[in-house]
Amino acid sequence: MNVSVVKSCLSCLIGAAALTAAGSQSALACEAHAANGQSLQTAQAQGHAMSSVMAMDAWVPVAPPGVKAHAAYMVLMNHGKETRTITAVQSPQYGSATMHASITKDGVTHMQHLAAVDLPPGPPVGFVPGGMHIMLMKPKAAYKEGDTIDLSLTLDDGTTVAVKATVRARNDAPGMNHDHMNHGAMGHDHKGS
Amino acid sequence: MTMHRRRALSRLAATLAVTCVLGLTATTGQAAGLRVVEPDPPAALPEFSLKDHRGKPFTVESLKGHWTLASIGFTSCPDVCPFVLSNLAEVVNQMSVRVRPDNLPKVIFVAIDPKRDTEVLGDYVKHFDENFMGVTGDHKELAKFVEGIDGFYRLGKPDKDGDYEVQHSASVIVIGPDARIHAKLSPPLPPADTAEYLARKRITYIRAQRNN
Repeated sequence: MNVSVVKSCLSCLIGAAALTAAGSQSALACEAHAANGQSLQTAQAQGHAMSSVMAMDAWVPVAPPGVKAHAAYMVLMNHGKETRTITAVQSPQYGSATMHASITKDGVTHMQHLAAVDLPPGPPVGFVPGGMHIMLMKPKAAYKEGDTIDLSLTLDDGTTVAVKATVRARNDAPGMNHDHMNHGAMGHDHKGS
Repeated sequence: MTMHRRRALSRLAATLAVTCVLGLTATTGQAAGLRVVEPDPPAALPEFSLKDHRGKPFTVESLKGHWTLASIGFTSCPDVCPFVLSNLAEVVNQMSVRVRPDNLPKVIFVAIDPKRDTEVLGDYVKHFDENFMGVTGDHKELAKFVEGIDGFYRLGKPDKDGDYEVQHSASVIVIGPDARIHAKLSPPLPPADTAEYLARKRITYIRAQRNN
């Protein structure tokens, strides 16, 4: 446990303390987010140290029928002291998961594959529409609103972050109906600080 | 995101008067304002021969007599294309409080990856709005139309898995009832601002027609 965790999010500290006390508990939810009904799951991989990275507001817009390329969005926060790097993404519900950035230059858009994404300590890193996204290919079923997509982010320190993303209507991005977080905008309005 | 937030607010305000929605725009629309380029005079389109998602011919004639919003993309585009279409659905929705249903612009999705797009195109566009139309064809004809609307697309070489990179214009093209290009809009399209712009554009056009 370190000071930056205390400063970043008190409720996460409490949760983490409870986790330490419980010893083998695998999932940890930040109470501030859970209270807002947000999907938040930060889990530790078996046998690995607790990850300092938390995922919030993870979602997958419901895809048009027959479409084989979906996207997952989320906001990630690194509560640790050191920059962590996402080196791989997986989902048991898709044939492949990769990180991409949509780039529009001179009015032309293309997607750039990202082999790794850095998560510096402190400010949130957003995977948001029109920016970075996790591209999910070859869905193993047709997912509908309300379904949960399990994602696993592998970090450079060997830990993994388990993320539960909710399938939602495209015009129903999480964070729209409350002031908890303003996605992709300046700053992170973290009420639990 | 501002766009999403405003959309949410607009939806909450759906039962309020139109002026309230406009008022919201006036206070929050500054930063997100619509970016428009208007060719002067409106640019004519070349002849082209495409098909809509029902398999019916789609030519210059299909564009006459109504306003059209054309978006270029491909159905396996996971991020930008679906959000532009979702954005356009909201624009049309907001316009529906300003103009009669038969005067609403028709939205066409120009699918530039026919190999993967053709089969799913109808279901794809209807996912966003029952009235949206998908348009595609062979690359020769697609190129004529896309270049005609000052757009661009390029499909990359397939990799070992058969996947390939696709580049395409992000703009939404506004085509008038005269089948000429009247404007090019750069996303994101703030729905209220865009709806207001298009409604005004329509009135200006009608007035100009009367004066001629």
